[in-house]
Amino acid sequence: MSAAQRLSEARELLAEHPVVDGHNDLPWALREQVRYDLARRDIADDQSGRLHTDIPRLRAGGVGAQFWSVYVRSDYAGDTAVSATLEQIDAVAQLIDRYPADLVRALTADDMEAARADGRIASLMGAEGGHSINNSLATLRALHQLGVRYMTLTHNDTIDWADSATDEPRHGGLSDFGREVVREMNRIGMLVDLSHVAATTMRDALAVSAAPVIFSHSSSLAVCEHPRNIPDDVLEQLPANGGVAMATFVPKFILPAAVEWTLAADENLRAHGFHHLDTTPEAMALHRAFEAGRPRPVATAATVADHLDHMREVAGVDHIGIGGDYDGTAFTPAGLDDVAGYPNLIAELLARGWSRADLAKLTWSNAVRALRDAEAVARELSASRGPSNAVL
Amino acid sequence: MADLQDEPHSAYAAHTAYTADTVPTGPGAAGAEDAPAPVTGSALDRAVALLSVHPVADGHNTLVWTLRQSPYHDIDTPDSGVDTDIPRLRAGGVGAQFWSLMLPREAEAADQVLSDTLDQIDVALALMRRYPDGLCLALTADDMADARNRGRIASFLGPVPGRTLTDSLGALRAFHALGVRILAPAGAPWAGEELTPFGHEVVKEMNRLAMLVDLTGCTPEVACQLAGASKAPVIVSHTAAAALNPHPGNVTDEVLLALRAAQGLAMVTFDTAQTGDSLHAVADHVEHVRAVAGPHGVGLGATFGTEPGVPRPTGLTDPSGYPRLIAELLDRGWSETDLALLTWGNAQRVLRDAEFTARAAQHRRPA
Repeated sequence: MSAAQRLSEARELLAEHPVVDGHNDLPWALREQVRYDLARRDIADDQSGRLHTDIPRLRAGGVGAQFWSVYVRSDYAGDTAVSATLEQIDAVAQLIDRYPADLVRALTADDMEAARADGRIASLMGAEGGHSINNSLATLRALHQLGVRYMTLTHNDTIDWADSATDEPRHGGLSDFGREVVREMNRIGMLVDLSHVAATTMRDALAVSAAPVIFSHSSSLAVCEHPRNIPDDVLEQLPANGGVAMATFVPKFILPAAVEWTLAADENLRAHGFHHLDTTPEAMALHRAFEAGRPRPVATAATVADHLDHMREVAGVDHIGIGGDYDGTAFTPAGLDDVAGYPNLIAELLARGWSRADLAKLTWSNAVRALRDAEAVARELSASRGPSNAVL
Repeated sequence: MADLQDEPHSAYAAHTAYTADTVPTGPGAAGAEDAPAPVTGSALDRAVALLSVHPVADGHNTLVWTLRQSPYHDIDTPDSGVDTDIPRLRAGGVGAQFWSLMLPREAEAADQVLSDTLDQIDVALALMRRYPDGLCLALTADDMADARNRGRIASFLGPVPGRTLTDSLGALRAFHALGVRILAPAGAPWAGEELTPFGHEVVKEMNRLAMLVDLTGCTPEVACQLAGASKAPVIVSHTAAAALNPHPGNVTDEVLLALRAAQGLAMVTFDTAQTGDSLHAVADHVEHVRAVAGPHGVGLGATFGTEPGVPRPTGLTDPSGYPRLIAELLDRGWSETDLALLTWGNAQRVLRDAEFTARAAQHRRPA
């Protein structure tokens, strides 16, 4: 099969088994770029150069369901974090209302299937970091009621009840309250997302969670040594748990040479007074200037495929998925430059001999199954116990 | 104005007889559309009969906060540990309740007013899930009528503190999505000295969402600004007349006139510090509010929902006392029409007007 034939077959496969993407930061990009003035970033039109994401490119990429991240900065705390999270949720609601022919609100696995049958992009929400609930389980329940269907336990900073992968540990994983957060998420039917958390937190959460967990955007530690990736012993637990590890495309996490390069580039950003995750045009310009002096190692679809090959081997084909992190990362792999790129990844996997059945699990059915199973666990648990009123 | 098709008028009329010589006299005689008062039965019997058709829609009850402090009360049975329970609400003829989600000032930790308020909402929703035969979440004026027809107490969530809104309306729309229908601006930085431009934006968005503005605790200046800024009627969920008792929580005649002009509603509290310690004193405040704000501008917002020890007017110590107040007003010559407005009609009309305003404003994009 030629490359062109593989790409054509990938598109055909995606038409039937579209991508459920675990993590897209379009809401935060809209907040930063235009303070949610959606008219100024009309995603019905091509927004290339400004955003990784718009509807024409989601369609070209074969995306059938998107977990929109309602991320707020990790250094937000207290009411500021909660309030900003509510604003993010509100922005997603506005986005869905604005593009009803293409986006449809989805709260359940059934909603995802209905959206696929209907030819629209199921729009779910995921919160990114326990700071968004301000140590309040009532706030967690409010987020669920407002439509949030996963919460990443931490972002880049360790919080009062869970250790992050990229900060000093304080709890050796999850604290007692952290375990109660996981139990309450199980009870209400919110997926526990273990991207960003320390490996100790991953193991603690897997030990306590009665429902499948997800990694909304994380790849393999064995393939690329970076704390944002998943160790093999954790991937090995996914079959028993039923969860899904959704491989991310972020070059600085998945390509060893890019890990090195990024350490230097981040240092450069901080030296100029920017946060190292800043994606504003100013910060991006600085990043590009740095890049001019030191060429940035380029990841490709093959880099992502290397991770997926390994993850499939360790976790099994029923426990892998895709979480690009578009609009949440400054750089993307060549060929996976924006949300139109997924067919290139599928073509690469076809070239590596992945079967259509395996690819359908990767793109669509594993993630839908994880949510469906979490719903079943929640029905069972909520029949036998009421809301948790635990406090930190 | 709403066409109140869901207002049953026949039952009470069938229950009583009317004669020409019972035309009301005295302080209440100036009411709107006075109908002759019935002659049969004691005033208390007549009050109970009237409330069975026109129940109380009470503007303020703090049970949610009380239960958060002390969750060990079963409100399905009369419980001496707290003044509000379903049997006494039913005995008092309460058909709708606005459940306050305000936080006592001393409880407001600086950086968790919002998450504390979400906690209050969570407790209130849990209460409705726990007592589905007694309480029923209400989001609209229609829900209020439906709950009454099904023998449930229509339960509205709010007010929530305006302080939770700092520089955006995201939290406001989240409150609305969670079922909250009332917000009180008092204490918010945007409604302190005056209503700021952001405060105007909050009011516009509340109008668009059909959420009621509760003026309780605002200065007279800001209260009048809010009443003027809002395209929908505003309420004062628990207050009394400053003209009779210059308590800081009581509304001045100026505010009552502003409410009258804006078709708003002042709901009279049974807090002795604001009204005085007798049922007569409460009735005096109700009459004053009717006299100034008009019969379409007066309601009840008793502010029950506390543990024992809070001083209450004699005869109005818990929600089962409403019939005694209605009997007193009947004795003062209030017409059935005015009483039905006081207990139920005004609150329902304000909600309905807010919904009409919202539909008219829906072309506005979210701010």
